[in-house]
Amino acid sequence: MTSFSPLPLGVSEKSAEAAFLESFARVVLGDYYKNPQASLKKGAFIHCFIEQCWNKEDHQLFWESAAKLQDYCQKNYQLTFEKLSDVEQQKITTLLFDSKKHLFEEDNEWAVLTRQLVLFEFFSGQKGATEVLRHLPLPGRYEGNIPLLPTDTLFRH
Amino acid sequence: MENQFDVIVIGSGISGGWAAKEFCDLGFKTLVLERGRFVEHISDYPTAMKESWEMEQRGALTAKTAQENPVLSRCYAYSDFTQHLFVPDNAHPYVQEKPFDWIRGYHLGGKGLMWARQVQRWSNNEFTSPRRDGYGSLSWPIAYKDLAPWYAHVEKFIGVSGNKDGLDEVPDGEFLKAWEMNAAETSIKEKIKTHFPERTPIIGRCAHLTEVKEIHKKQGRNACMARTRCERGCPLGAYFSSNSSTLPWAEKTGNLTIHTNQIVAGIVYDPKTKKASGVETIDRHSKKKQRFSAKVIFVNAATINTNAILLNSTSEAFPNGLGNSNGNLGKYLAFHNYRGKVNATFKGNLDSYYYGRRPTSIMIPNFRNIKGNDVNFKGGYLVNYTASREGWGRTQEGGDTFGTNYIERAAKPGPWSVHMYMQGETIPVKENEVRLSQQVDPYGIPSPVLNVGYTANDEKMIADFLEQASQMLRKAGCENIQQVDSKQAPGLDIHEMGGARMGEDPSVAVTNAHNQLHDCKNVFVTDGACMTSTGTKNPSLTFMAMTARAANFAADQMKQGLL
Repeated sequence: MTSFSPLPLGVSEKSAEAAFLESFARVVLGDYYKNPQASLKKGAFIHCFIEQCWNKEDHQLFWESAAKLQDYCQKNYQLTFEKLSDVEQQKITTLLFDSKKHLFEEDNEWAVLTRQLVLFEFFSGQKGATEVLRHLPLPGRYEGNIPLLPTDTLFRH
Repeated sequence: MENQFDVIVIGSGISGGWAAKEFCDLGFKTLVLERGRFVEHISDYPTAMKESWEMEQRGALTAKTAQENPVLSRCYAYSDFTQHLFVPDNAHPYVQEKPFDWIRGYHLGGKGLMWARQVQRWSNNEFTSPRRDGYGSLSWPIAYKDLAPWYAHVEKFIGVSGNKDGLDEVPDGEFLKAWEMNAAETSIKEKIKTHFPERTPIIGRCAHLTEVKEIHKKQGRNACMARTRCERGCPLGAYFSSNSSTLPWAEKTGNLTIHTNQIVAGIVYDPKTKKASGVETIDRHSKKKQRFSAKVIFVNAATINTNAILLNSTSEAFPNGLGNSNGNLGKYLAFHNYRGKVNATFKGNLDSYYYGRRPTSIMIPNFRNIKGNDVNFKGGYLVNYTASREGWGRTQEGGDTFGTNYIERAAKPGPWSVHMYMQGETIPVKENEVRLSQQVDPYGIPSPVLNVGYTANDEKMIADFLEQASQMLRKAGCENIQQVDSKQAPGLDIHEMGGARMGEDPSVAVTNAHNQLHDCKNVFVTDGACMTSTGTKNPSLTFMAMTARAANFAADQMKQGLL
């Protein structure tokens, strides 16, 4: 069985955990994934966040589920998730979120949680917060009723 | 003499700051003692302008911090952005005989830097209902009319936004321009008014400058920019705090002295004069003891510490604590009950959004036991609600589950989410108390023991709120209505009150109608500790009005040579 070993604080961007989470973030974010330095910054942040902000029992459960996914990938493709092609990663991710097809767990709770981590990293990060959402560092006023156009995005809170 | 003052104020939070301002304005040499560090307005708000991506964990607490601070980490305002303003759980231990989440701010300005800033006047009904309906074992010695001019005095200075709504249960005041409701909140309000004519949702009233009047310019304060990053400290001084307002104002008079890092061990009683002669402090760093003298002492250390200081002020005349000849000091603690919450969704007004971030919510003034005790519990509750568009973390129905389209949908405003919650009066009972432990802190001061719990009355009130809130939301057209009893411990409301309650009868009350200790007339208590009952309103405005009233009374007494 694949195992992830929790790293000490200040996680390396080259860790297997960061590489896996980076790949997952790339799939979840689609065209919004932009990483010109080709580093594992999103994966490293999420890994670090789990290690620092979650209880030990929770990160253990998280990595156990991640390991099950990697086992599935190894069994079916003889590769880890991050080494799969885009098409294969998307196929597996589709199955992960399909509540009727349980890939390796009774529900898709782990997949939903991991997606939430990706969204948190993205929308609390500068690019997501300022280029995708509408960032109002100093709104200056409050208006209770403004029209919402179909193209309007969330104001960042 | 260096340590001789006209007035000593213990505590620099909202009420302590007001005492200092009033006395300094009236020409009295005033010493403010603060147990924590100095916080300079603006320059000591290090995270005020920080964005989430500038914080190591985007503002989240680490598991280590949360584990080390189980009490604090339950507080809504405690995060990586604000943790430097809160007292770590292990910094000043206390004994919890029942769970009590004691939230503290030991620094200049106290909790007034991180407070929720909602300010409503009490109704006359709130002062009279304990006597009328026979609860709390004590009647208020004052009525609304006694405080009304002081409410106005305070409101003009601090700046309070609100509408003149003309409702008896929440009297109008001196208001700046009100904040707006959003479209969903307005729709819900109209439907509630139609189906429940005696319930009137109004926009909340808060201590934010929606307009900057001359008096605020003189304080160096600016208009609120609708950021709602208030609990980090506001560099604009847009919400009221001691740091931005009363203390710098008092300092300009030349009458103010502030000593920080001075922990008050007790008040010194002089049996010859039958008055307090001063205050004994211990330096937080050097542990050096000092004594400061004054004609008048205001105790504004926040409810629990105010009680603890008085309990620890023992002498031959008062072996059980200063002001405690009737044995009631520290007893009848009460708080606000926030356990009941109801969440729902609202499908109207989907073409509407809002701009900016509003620092207040919608308020439905108490509608229970207005003319008499007509339900199966005593006291009342205030209802608050907000409606907001759901954000990127919401569950999306249908469509892609990841990828570009998923992110595009996540980035758009979701359905309206409605959150309604109670702020319930709790009944002061003798069993709910603070007393002193045999254990001492590193300064040799006994630690507080807190024994405070909910009563059967609270449980009935929660049940009533959950039912009434659900009915209101249903009639307003909301769906997916979910009732929640958070079961949160007392203390998390941060509205603890009582222990040195006001009342006419010295055999029961600790303080009189002017906030003087019955036992020692030159010691005044004007923070939450003096509150005879809790009412349903956020209490800070009443603490400030009570303080201004008592300070002016004490000043008159000093001028007449009576104190």
